[in-house]
Amino acid sequence: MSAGLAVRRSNRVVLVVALLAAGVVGTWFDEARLQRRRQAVHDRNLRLAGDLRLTDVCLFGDAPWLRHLSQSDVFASMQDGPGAFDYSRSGSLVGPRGTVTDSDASVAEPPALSR
Amino acid sequence: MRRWLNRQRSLADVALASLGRRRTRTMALLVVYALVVSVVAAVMLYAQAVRREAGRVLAQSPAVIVQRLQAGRFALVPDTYAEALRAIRGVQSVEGRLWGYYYDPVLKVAVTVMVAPEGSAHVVQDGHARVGPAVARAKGLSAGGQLLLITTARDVLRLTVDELLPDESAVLTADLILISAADFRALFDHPAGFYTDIALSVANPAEHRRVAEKVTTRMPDTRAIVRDDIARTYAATFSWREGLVLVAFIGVLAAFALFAFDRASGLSADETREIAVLKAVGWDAGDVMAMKAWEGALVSAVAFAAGYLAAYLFVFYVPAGPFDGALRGWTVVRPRIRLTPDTDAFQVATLFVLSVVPYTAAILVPVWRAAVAEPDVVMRG
Amino acid sequence: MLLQPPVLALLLMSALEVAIALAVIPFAVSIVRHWDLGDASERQVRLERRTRLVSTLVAFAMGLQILTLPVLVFTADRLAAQLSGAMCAVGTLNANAYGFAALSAQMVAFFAAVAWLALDAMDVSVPTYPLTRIKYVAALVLAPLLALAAGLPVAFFAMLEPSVITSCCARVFASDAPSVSGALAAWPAGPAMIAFYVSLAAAVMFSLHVATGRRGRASAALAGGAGLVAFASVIAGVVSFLAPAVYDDVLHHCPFCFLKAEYHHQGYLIYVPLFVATANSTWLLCASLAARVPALEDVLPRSQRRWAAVAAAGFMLVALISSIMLARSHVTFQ
Repeated sequence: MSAGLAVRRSNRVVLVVALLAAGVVGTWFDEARLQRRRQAVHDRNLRLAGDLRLTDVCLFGDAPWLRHLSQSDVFASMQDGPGAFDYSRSGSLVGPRGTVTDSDASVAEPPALSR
Repeated sequence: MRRWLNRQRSLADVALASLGRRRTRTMALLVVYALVVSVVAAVMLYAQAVRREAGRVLAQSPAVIVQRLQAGRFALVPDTYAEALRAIRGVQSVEGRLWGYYYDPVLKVAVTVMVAPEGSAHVVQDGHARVGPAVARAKGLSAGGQLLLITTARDVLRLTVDELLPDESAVLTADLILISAADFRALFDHPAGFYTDIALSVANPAEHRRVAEKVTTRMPDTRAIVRDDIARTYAATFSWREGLVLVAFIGVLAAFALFAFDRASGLSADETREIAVLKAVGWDAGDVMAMKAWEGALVSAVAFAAGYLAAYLFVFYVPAGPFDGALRGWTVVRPRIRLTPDTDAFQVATLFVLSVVPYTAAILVPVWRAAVAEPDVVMRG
Repeated sequence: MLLQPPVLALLLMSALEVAIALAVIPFAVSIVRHWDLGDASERQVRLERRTRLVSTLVAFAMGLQILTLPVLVFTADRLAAQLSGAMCAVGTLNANAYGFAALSAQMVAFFAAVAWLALDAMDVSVPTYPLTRIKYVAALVLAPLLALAAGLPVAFFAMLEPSVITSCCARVFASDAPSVSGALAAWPAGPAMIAFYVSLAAAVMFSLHVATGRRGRASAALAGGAGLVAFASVIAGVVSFLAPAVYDDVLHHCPFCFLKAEYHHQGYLIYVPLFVATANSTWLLCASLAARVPALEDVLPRSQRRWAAVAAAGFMLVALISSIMLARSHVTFQ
């Protein structure tokens, strides 16, 4: 193989690597751009949540405890494990006792359901 | 220094040429490698974006929510509780919240019905409603339209839709129906003088937990949820999810490492001859290993960058990709959430450890084996 | 709380480290017993060929070990969001008994790994591999340490319960806390500052002394030792006065919080040069031990000068940056 060819190939690969690296760095700029652009929306949403006294985001609605994750009681049925998958598919998104709060300690803990 | 640089450049050139001679195999490795990176990256980017989104929009949710429990289930809170709560030091204001789930027999899904608190910009008059974007879409509603709800007594509650809550707020309001307090009580046969739960505002954030403790000691049948708990709930939810996906992914990762190991150790005849020639012209094992290290580094760099880039575009620019359900969960009134990326260096580092480290570990032994092979043995076959 | 991506990353690294450490033991034993460059037996040839693989593997494990320390700290910091009462890494690490044990073991393993890599570098820089036997004795000694350092974080994360209420850094590093951290926080700023600058000055001077000339074992040992002392006193100084200065709060002594975005990651400005400099000090110490080996006579002084120069520069940078932080702070110490 001639030296010229080798140089050309390595240049091409360097170009590819550089382009990809630029792409990755570009995502950071894109991220900053999106965050700036949606800042107003975020601020409005923040005010809306405060205004309506909302406690949860609306990610999944297939079960009450999944709709209001932070408000659900720790011993709602089907909440005690990731196995709730069969019953409620979003159950796989939420770990067992995903909503433990300190004040739960003051509630008599049901023995059978907690891990 | 210059000598060292020149040496590295020459090594990289040789590595490149060697990779280029096995173009198909290199491409196959790159594609698989990039795919592995992109799956892990997509899960991590997605989860982090949702987590931060929740953290951002819920930063001003009620300081403390007081629920009442009776026989282990939620019970309505009488307004006498509100009076008692007002007496707790540090509590700035006390508000009963009215909200619940309405099972829509047509959509076959539960949506959230809520009464906007007094003084809110979203208070609606009796006979009127405001609906969230996903409900509106599912029921084909628009401003001025009619929303029919079936009350507990099987009557029909006719409401005029004032306005739709904006699409941009879907992350909070997708399945929300805001109605007046009177309509709420009529719809659910909700007794007067009772609330679903009670929201407290506390001036000093440092006191939230202390107030919550006071509430639960004074009223043993209550449970208090602090704003910080809400934040922790969402921080935990998707972290757990990420972990679960990654654990399920261990098999793939192992298979990939095995693939890389196999590919690196099953040297083709050409490759073996190549190394033998290099050694015959005076390279020592260290040079061969350095050259191979360059190969690995180049492959890793390209695959990592390509995989990360693909994941980024997939998560933030493809509105509903094929794996959306697996990432997001299921629901009939699905919120259309536009995620805002929120990555950090640590995430990239974790991704790097989870993909490049296994690859590197897998090729170490084969690389050494290639490096120490004696040229005469190889040449003779 | 094992099911978290960064924890899984840590687990992966730990598993690899331990696997390599275990795999290397039999080979290291046979090297220590049979290594003899003068011997031309087949066993020696095989050993020589193998040693390249093994030292690459061990170097890889040590590299992972070096990476584990920051990942552990970051992970702890990240998990603080999920633990009640935790504000930063301290709260997380404090949530059970293994947290700070894991961090300490990781720090020791970090510098041990750094030292081993220096041994390896010195060894392969000379065609006669004069340090091979010592290197593998060291690897054998390090294997259990590495396993311990890898195991403690696993135990820590496995036992970490999200429902546990932990205390935040403000309480751990409160001057009335009955612990080492409390004692450091209670250390008056005056003496702490004197110890901080004197030890840094000593480390810089001794390192410069080595960096500027062809010096003997004693100077290298002195410079290395002074570097380690400076490391300890800088950490103590961070808790005692530097962190409060950065936070503009005399009562906030946490050495982790200023790594966070809220404080513009200022901590890295201190910790990165500090760890780099201390790593070089560790190498100087190793070099002073290795100086006995005659084969290294040609190579060692040059590396030694370089390491000493980096150490001196790093410690100077630490002194400079902390002075700037102090100057910019509004806190006044008695």
